[in-house]
Amino acid sequence: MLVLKRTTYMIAILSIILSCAATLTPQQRLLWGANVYNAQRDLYLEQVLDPEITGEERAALKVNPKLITPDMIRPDLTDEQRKILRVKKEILVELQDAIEISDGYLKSGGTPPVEVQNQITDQINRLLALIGD
Amino acid sequence: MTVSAVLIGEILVSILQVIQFRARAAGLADEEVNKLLDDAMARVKASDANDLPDV
Repeated sequence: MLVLKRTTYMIAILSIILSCAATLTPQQRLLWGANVYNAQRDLYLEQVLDPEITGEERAALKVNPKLITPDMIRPDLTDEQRKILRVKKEILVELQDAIEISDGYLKSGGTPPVEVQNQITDQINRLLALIGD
Repeated sequence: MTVSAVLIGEILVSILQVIQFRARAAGLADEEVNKLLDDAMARVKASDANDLPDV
C-alpha cells in the first residue's frame, strides 16, 4: 500500500514537472483546462453521490447538481475524504473562473495575459497535488 | 477489490488523464483545437462549480 501511495506521489510530481516543461498555446492550454475541469467535475459528483442512487436519477443529478439534497450524499465518506472534497470543490470553482476569463480574451480576439493562463496551470497543479494526497 | 484499491485506481486514472489531456492538446493544430474547444467550453459554461454539493 505504501509503495502504491509513493508511486502515486511520484506520478503527481512528474506530471507537475511535465506540465511546466513544454509550452502550450493559449488555446491549447484552455482546451487542456476545460477537459480537466469537465472530467474532474464529473468525478467529484461520482465521489459524493450515494451509490444507491442509480440510472436516470443519477444522470439527472449530474446534469443539475442543485437538485442534490444532503440525504443524497454518500453516507460513508470519512472526515478526511470530506476535507479533500471541500478543497477540490474550491479548486474547481477557481479553475472554472480562470477558464472562462481566458476564453473571454480569446473570443474577443485577444490573448489572455500570462497571469490568467498560469492560473489554469496552477489550479490543475493544485488538483494533482490534492489527488495524490 | 478493496475500497483502497479502488481509490488508488481512481487516483492513478485521474493523474494519467490530466497528463493525457495535456499531451493531446499539445499535439493538435489550431483548427482542431478550436473545434474541440467549442464542445469543451459548452460543457464548462453549462455548469457552475458553485452548484456542486457541499460535503
